[in-house]
Amino acid sequence: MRSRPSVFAATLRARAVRVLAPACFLALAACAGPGGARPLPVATVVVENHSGYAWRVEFLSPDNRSVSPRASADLAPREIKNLALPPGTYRVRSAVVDAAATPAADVNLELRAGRSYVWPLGTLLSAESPGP
Amino acid sequence: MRVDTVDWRAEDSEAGAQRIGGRPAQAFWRRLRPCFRGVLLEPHRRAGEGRVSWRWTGPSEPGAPGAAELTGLRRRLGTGLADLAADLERDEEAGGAEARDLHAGMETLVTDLINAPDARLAGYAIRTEAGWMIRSWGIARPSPARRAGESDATETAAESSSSAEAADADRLSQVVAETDALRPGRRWRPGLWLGAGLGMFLGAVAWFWPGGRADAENLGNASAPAPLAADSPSRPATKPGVVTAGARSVAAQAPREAGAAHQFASVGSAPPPQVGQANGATDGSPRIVPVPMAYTGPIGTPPEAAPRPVDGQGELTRGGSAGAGGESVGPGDARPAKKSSDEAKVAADPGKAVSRATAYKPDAVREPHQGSKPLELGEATARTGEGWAGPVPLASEVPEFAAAPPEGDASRREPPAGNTPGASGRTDITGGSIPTQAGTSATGVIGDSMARDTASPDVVGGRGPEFASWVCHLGQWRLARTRDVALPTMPAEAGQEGGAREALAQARRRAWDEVRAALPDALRSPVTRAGWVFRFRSEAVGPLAPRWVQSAGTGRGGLAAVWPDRAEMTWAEPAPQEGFEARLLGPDGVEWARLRVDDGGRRLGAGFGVPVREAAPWFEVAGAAQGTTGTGTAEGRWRSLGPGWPDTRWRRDADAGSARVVCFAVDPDAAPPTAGVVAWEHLASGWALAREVRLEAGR
Repeated sequence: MRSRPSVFAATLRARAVRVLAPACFLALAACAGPGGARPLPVATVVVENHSGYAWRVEFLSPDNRSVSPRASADLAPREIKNLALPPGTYRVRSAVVDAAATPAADVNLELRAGRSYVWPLGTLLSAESPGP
Repeated sequence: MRVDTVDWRAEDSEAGAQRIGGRPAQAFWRRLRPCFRGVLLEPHRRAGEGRVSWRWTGPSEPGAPGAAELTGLRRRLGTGLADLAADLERDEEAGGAEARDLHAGMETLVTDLINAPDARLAGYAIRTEAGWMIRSWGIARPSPARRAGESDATETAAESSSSAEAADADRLSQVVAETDALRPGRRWRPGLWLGAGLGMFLGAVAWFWPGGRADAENLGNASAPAPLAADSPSRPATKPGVVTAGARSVAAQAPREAGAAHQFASVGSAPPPQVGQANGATDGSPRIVPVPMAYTGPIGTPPEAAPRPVDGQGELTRGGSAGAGGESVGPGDARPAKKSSDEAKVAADPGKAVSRATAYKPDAVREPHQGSKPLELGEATARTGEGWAGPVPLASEVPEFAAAPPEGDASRREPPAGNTPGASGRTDITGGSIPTQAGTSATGVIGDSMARDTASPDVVGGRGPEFASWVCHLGQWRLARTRDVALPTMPAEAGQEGGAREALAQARRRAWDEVRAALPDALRSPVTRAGWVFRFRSEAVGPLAPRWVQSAGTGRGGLAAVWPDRAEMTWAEPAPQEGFEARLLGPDGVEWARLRVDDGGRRLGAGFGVPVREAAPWFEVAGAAQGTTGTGTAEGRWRSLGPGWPDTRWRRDADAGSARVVCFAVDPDAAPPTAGVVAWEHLASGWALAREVRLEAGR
């Protein structure tokens, strides 16, 4: 016959349940986080805004009917942004913010892992910058 | 042949509707109806439901609109916009904010429709019993039309599908934007799952440890450990954006809300995009996307053909990307923190900034306008020209104009035709393409003519203090762009032959070809006239009209016209270089007013000794009010391009296809000078014929 545990032992065990289990989980989850996982290869897109307007670029699913972008970025006038995207096929769109018109570009494009791409944005009247 | 007609209907959500003053554009229909009746279909809004429906009666098989129908729609839209501008002038003049908002909003909406590609405009065009009209205006994605008796089942299903897709896309965008290591489609993070599983296992072991749970419960502790899964987030915290900057990540824009999607104008009805060739430019012809009301620098050839120096905006800046020094990143850091010495000079001298931004020669730029600031391409000029501070492009910057003979060069002009206004001066201003240096022609640039101020301000030789006199300086007519064009480019692999910049230049050339082709004949080879009008107060007017007397021996003069309360002098441009003078004599022979035209019509002097209600120059562009189809419908409007010169009080009229404007609603008691840029803007093409005008006291 099993003896009834003392109150002290029961308390200790209960606290161990409350504390140790989450701690184990958190520790392991932290190890599995970005620092622990090997980064997946990405495609780098350098978006250069050569104009004096603000632009928005969007990367959408390649199908035609989705309206929300997988990712998007706004560019201030004369700004460059580096975008790291998972490789794959995207529907890319660019538009001048507040232009209230159709996108300037709307095409499907395959981005390959480990490749770098340059996406210049400009307008008919914008002066070219000498660039970096 | 009898055509069966049926009732049609369509229903759109107001979520993506263009808003004016916070309200859907359709909410202003009562105000818009007088101007757009017959071209815009009447909307039916359901209060509180956020939907707008459209009903019309048309052929059972309407078919698609042809090019002629679409052209007609564009023309009628332009007419409606011009009518609206005139209709709202009074309210705007009275400071009505709503009128200004409505004007600006409808200008954007209508201009967008006018400039839309045929395929897109056709989505809005419907055939009614009254002809072709536009429905779903102000809606980014018009819903499909259906017969009135048709069931909503199809529509509902489509909407459900669309909603589900949108929800799925939203979820996807959140998931994709979580971390730097992203992959479209399925994501597999073994470490995370392993950790979660192991943690749950340990928790379960601890929980079910003999006596453990009972002990815990026996303790009467209400905060018994919950299942781990409940403590763990079901999904890692999202971090929107995918912008990375070297070793660090920068949050970019969160996925847009559905309501903001209309800014990008839906492409649901557009043909599916082509698979990119990764050559930096999209295939096919460029899709021209107008940037509304953006007044920019000179445009004669594609800008890359004559590289311009960096404008006042500075070089490209690294936003969202750590620089070499690891500076702060993000859009807020778009401008360099430290201004270069050149930029400091620019800030100190806006006039030079203008000249730098547009490659003007400094000596050809007249003094900057009062309170002006450097020209920035991103600045959208309001309809009254706010935000743009600088002279219109110099003629030498515009090859079309540069190639045109200077006004003073009579040998290259057609000979004047006596007093027949409009019969001379027709020169193709787009004939050439070789830019010339600014300032090389004595009469080639506005700034030059303006800089040579009057040697004797009192050119009309006032006969006493009561004889007021004004001098008006006019610049040369030149082409200007009122809209910019966003270039269709796409990412190109770095290091590829040609490079992204070449692709950008290529897209610019294609866009330029389209823009150039759209230049209307009335502006390509403009025939202009100018004149001066005196309108007298009632106390000075009698039953008999005054009469003009032109000075003898001055050669070709002007065309005189008089009424009892008004007198006008008209001349074809360019006026004779030697000028002419005309005196207006009252019925009793007393001189009422005097007008002198010098420098080929670029300098006008006017004086008057009787009470006048108006003494003002006016301008006219022949054929500008003539539609491309010859219907005589206006496709443009007179507007101010300069800063601080509202055009709401301008008097506009059209006669025999010519568009005329009296752009100084002159109050003789007001103190000159008044200066600005008057332009005839062709709405469909975004081209304008502009000239600088400055009015100042003669003495």
